[in-house]
Amino acid sequence: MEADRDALARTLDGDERAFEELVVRYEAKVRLVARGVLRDAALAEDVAQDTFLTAYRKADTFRGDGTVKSWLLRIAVRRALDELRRRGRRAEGALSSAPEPRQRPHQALDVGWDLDAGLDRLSVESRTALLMKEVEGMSYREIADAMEWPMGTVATKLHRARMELRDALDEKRLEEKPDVVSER
Amino acid sequence: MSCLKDEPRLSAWMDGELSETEAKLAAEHVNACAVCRAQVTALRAVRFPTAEPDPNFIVRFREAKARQPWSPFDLASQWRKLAFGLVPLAAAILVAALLVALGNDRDPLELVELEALGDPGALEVDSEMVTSIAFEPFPEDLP
Repeated sequence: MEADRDALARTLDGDERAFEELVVRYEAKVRLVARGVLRDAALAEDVAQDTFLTAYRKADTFRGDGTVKSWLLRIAVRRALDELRRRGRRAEGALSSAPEPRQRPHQALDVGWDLDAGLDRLSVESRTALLMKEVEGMSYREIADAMEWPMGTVATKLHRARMELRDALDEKRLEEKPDVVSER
Repeated sequence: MSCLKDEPRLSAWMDGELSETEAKLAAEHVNACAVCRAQVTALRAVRFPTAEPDPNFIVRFREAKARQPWSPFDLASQWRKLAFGLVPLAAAILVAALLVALGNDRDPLELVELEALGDPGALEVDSEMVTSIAFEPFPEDLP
C-alpha cells in the first residue's frame, strides 16, 4: 500500500505525525493478532504498544520487499511469541500450570459462537495465521511474510486449523443439541 | 481429481489462492462431490471476530513514545544511514582502483609494438629485477 510506505518515508524525514497514521490504521489488526497468540486482551494491548514503539524506533529497517502491514504484524507476532515464552518460563518457575488470562479473550466480540474452545485447540502459530486470513483478509504471501513460513506451509496450516475449528464447532453443537447429528 | 475434503488445496481454493487452471479443476470437483460441498459449507460457517479500532490507543501510544529516550532520528540510526550511503561510494572507488591496476598491466607484445612505434620508455624495465633474474642459479636437476 503506497500510503503506508509514504507514511514511513515521512516518518524518517522527521514528520512526527506520519507514523501515527500507521498506528491508527493498524492498531486494531495488531491487537487482534497479538490476542490471537496470547489469548489475553490486556497483554495483547501491551504487545501492540510495544510493536508500534519498536516499528517507530526501527522505521529505517523496513526493507520494502513486503507490505508495511505484514512488517508490523511480523513484529507483533515475534513480540507476542516472546511474551508467551517469558510467561511460560515464569509459570514453570512458579511450578504452576498455564497462567490465567487477566481478561477473558474475545468476550466483548460479536461472534456467532464461542470461538475460545476452538481457538484454544490450535497451535499458537496456526491460530495466528487463521486470524490473519479470516479477520485481516491477508493473502497467503502476506501471511508467509509475517509468519516467516514458506508459502506451502500457509495452506497446510490454515486447512488444518479450519478442520480443527470445524470439529470444535460440531462438538459445541452436539453439546447444545445432542439429538442433532453433525453434518460431516 | 481425488477428493479435496482433507486437502490444503480446498482451503487454498476457498481463499482464491489457486492458479486459474487449478481453481477450475477444484470448482468442478466441489460441484460434483457432496462431501466436499458439505466441508466447504462447514468451514465457511465459522464466524470470526472483527478488529474493532480503539480511539484511545493512539493516545496511549503518544504517552509511551514520550517516555522513550529515542526516536528514528537518534545518533545510531543516523550513523547506520550514513554507512549505507557510503557503500556505493566505496564500491565506486574499488572499481576505479581495479580499472587503473588493469590498465597498467599491458601485454608484452603491445609494449614491443609501442617501442617499434617510437615510444622509447615502453620496454624500460627495472634494472635490479633484471640483475636478480640474470644471476639466479639454475636448478640443479636441469639436464
